[in-house]
Amino acid sequence: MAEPQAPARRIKQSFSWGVYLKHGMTPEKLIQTAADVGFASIEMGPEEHWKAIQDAGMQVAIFVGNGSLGNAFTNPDNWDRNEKEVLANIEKAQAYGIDTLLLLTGNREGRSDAECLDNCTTFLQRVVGPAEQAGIRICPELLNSKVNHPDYFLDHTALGAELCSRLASPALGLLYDIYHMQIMEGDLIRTITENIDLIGHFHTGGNPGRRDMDDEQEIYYPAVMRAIADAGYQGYVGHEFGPKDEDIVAAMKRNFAVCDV
Amino acid sequence: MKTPRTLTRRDLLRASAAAAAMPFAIRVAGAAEAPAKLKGRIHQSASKWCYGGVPFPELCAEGARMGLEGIDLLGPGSFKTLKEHGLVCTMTSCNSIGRGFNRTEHHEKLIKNLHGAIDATAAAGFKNVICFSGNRGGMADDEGLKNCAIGLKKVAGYAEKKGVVICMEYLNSKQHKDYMADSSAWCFDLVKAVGSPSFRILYDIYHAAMMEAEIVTGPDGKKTARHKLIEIIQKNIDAIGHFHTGGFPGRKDINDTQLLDYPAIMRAIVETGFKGYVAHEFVPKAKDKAGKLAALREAVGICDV
Repeated sequence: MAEPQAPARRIKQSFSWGVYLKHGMTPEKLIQTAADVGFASIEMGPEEHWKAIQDAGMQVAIFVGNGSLGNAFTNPDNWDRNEKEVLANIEKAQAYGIDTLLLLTGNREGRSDAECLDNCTTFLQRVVGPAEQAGIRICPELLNSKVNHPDYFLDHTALGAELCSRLASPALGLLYDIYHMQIMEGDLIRTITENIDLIGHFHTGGNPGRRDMDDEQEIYYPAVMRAIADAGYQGYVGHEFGPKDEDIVAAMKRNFAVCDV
Repeated sequence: MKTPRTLTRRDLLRASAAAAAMPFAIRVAGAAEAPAKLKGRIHQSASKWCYGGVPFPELCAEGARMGLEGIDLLGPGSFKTLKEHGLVCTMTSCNSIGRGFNRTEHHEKLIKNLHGAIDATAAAGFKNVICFSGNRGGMADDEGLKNCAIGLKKVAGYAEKKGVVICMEYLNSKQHKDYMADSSAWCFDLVKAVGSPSFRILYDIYHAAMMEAEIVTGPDGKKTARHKLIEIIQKNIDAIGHFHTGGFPGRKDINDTQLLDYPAIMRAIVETGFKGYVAHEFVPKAKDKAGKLAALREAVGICDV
C-alpha cells in the first residue's frame, strides 16, 4: 500500500446533496462520511439538514435562490415573484451564515441577447442592494443550452461578465459550471483565470455524460483545480454529476482526490 | 437639559458621577439617543462589513444618528438606501485584493470594472472608488510600482473627468500575505508616479501600524506603540484620499484597550486641513448588535477632535 499523501486542501470541496445520496446512503451517514473524507460543504440540500451539516464542521456553500431554471427573470412577468423569492432566501442565508446564493436566469423565449441582458440587469438591480447589505453574493449560474438546457439564457461566460460589469456590485458573481462551460466554450483554464474575480462558485462534472471526474471523460480536473487555486480563488467547488460506482463512498473519495490539489 | 453630543469615555465618567448625584435627570445613551452634535472636523464613516448582524438600514439610521456622514465599501446596489438615510458611500467597492494593478495582464479587466464603479459613484454624487496593488507573487516592488503606474494612468484621466478619486489601499502583508502596497514609502512613491489628482492612497492606520509600528514594553510592564505615523501622515497628506481606523494590534475597538493614540492622530489630520473621510474599520469586540453599535459610537466620540 502506498504511503498516504498529505492532504493538499487548496480547494474547498463541496457537493450537491443528491450526488452521493444513493445506493443505500442515508442523510446521516452522508454528512458524517463527507466530513471524514474532507469535504468543506454539502450544498443545495433540504433546509432540514443544514444544521446537521454545520454541526459536522462543514458549511452549506450555496443553495438555489429563485425558480425556476427555464422560467425566471429573463421574463419581466417573473420579476415580482423572483424578487420575493430572492429576498426571502437572502434572509434565510443570513440566518444560517451562508454567503452565496444560486440564481437561474430563465430561458430566452425568443428574446435577443440584448433584451435578455437588459431584463436581467433590471431584475438584478432590485435584489443586488439587499444582497450587498446582507453580505451575500448572488451568483447566476452558467449552464449549457446545447445539450441539457435548450434555450437557457446565461450560456456563455461573456454574457455573465457583461451582467457583472453592468451591475458593478461586489454582491454579484457567477456560478461557473465547468461541465456546462466545457460544452459551450471550452478553453476552461484561460476563461476561469481571466474571470476569477467574477466567479463566486464552481460546479464540476465529467464531459460528456456528466458523470465522475475520471479518465473516461475529457476534462483534466487536477489542472483545472490547480489553476483555480493559483488564481487565488477563495470560494467552494461543488461536485454536481451522477457517479457511476455503486460503492458510493468509494466514488466520493475518488472524486474528492481528483480535486484535492 | 440640552441634547448631549456623542458620548466619549470622559462624558461617560462625568455622566456617571452626575448620575450618582442626580439619578433621574440623566439620559442613558442608547438607540433612542438624539442625533449627535459633533465638532465635525473629522468627517467620519464606517465599513459595513464590520457590522455583521446589524441590518443595513439600522446601521444607516444609527450611524447617521451618531454622526457618521457615510458608510464605506459598498456597491451601487446600496446607494439608494444610503441616500434615504442622508448618507453617502464614502468608498465604493471594486475589484479584489489579490489581483491588482501590479500585473499588466490584469489591467484591462480592472479598468473596465473601475469604469463601471466610477460611473455609478459619479452618478450618485459620491467621491471615492477603491483599488488594490495585488500580491507580489515573486515580483520586485519597483516593477510592481511601475506596472501599477502604467495601469492607473490609463484610468486616472477618466476619474478626473468624472470628479472621482481612485484610492489604493495600504494593507499589512502579514495578514494579507504577500500584498504589495504594504509600506508608506511605496504607496506615496506610486502617487508621485501616477501624478493625477484622481489617484490617492487609502491610508489604513491599523495596517500601517502593523507594518511600521513597534510595540515597546516599558519598565512598568506597560506596552506602548512606537511609530512615526503622525509625521508620515502630515508629510504626505496630499497623497492621501481616505483613512481607515482600527485598534492596534488586533483591529478591535479603538479605545484605550489598544495602543494607538487616535485622538492625537485625528488632531494631526485636522491640522493638515484634510477634507476627506476617516472610516472606522475595526471589528467590535462585542458580539451583540447593541454592543457593536456602542463600540462604533465610542469610536466616533474618540475621533471627533
